[in-house]
Amino acid sequence: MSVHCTRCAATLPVWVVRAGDAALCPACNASLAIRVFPALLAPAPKLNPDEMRIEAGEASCFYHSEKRAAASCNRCGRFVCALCAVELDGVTWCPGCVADAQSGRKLARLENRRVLWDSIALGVATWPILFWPATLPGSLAAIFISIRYWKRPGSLIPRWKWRFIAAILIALTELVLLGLFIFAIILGVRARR
Amino acid sequence: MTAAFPYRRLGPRTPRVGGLDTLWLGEDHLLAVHNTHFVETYLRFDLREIQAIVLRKEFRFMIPVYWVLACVVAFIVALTGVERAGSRVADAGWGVLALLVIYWLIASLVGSCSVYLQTAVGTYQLPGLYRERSARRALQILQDRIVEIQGVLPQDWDMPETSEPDPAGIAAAPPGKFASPLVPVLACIALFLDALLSWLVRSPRVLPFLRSLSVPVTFIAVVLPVIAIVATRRDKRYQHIRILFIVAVFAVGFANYGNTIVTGFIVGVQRAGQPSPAAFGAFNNFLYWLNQVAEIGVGALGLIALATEVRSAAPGRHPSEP
Repeated sequence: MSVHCTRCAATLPVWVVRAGDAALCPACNASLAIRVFPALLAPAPKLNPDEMRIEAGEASCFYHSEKRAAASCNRCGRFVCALCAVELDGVTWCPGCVADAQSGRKLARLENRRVLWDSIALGVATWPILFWPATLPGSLAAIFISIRYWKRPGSLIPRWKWRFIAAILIALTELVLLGLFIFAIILGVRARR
Repeated sequence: MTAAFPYRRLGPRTPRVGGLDTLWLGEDHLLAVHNTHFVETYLRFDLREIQAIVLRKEFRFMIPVYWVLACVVAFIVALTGVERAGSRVADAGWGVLALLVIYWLIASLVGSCSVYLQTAVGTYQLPGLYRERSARRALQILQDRIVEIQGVLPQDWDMPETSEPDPAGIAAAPPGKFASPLVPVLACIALFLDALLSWLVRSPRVLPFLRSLSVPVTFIAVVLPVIAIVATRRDKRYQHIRILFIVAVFAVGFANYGNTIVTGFIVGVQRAGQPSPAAFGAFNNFLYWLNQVAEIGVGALGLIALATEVRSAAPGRHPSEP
């Protein structure tokens, strides 16, 4: 329940926090603009072990058999205690379903990382421009990645598929140019003979 | 907010060299996205759990990709202008490049910040917000949304735990001695004079007296800002003026050293009986541009800052003290 200076980590006195836009850290003189919200004053939630203890005839937690069930998972129906219940978007989940959804990408809210295959395809397609011997594998790989991951969900934020299209077009152009180059070499060799 | 995409973007979406950080406001949470070109990582902050937002003014030397592109275009114009369209186009290219450099330096030194969110678990930086104006705009929207969800703090709120460091003791600490504005004013005038002389020296009919005078004036234009920085180092009122002087010292130093080196090259090439490349002369012009733009800009901004900030701050008082 205190605000800290983001430069020196000193605990800021109330009168500094109250200064808002004109706050200066008394310890390191950092110029700060501070906004505080009611969550700062809210006491930390404490679980009373006595309240969680199970009594005869009561349902127990699926994961802690000695604890009283406080809710049921909205996905699988398992009973869970107050410690295990995870609330996401107003729905109660059990830890097993959360882990399952996180690994299987069934709940976008739990995702913390996504690979941008469209950017990779574009990068692979443009790489041969800088390093021409990689033209054949690079352009083939770009086409493969674009087709393979076309329907794979990309970024969480809005993103059009122009990178996939550009990667395919660049890769096809490179293949055509490579074909013409090989054709010209063959013609030259034949002409010499 | 649409049903398909329930986020609203906060702050700029400017790609930087090394990645892109964006901030998105959802119905009940804030989504911080870090894009490293091939992978995106996400951090979510529940709006009910944000305890405080802290914006700290500091130097942030971020390099936006658009700025780099603009510099590259100006550089190409400057180089190609030497060969094709005469020195005017080249001069304009170097001038634009100088302005871009000065703008970036001033934006990085004066208008930059870092923003942090504090929750019960820890403090997190929001790297997407690094320019103060856009950060304040974004934080205002975020603040309004948090207030909608959490409500407003009572007027007489207090934090009993923070009484340990004795805020009264800190408040009662004697403020530092306020420095006189004389040295910063003289430094600004010296910068103006040096810019004027540097312009006069380049004219074809320059008086020898002015040429010899320009050397000590340049020396003074570098030394006086340094003295002003040292003399006002403990005074918060001169914070922005000090930054301006740092910019000026670096720009003038770079321009003069660069000018000396390039002139040395030109003389060496001419002594060898070869014509000196036009790009050398054009680069010298750029250095003059940089010198003059920096000096005039810093001199003018410094005087304005001295006139406003120094008078507005009440002497003998910590600015955030109640």
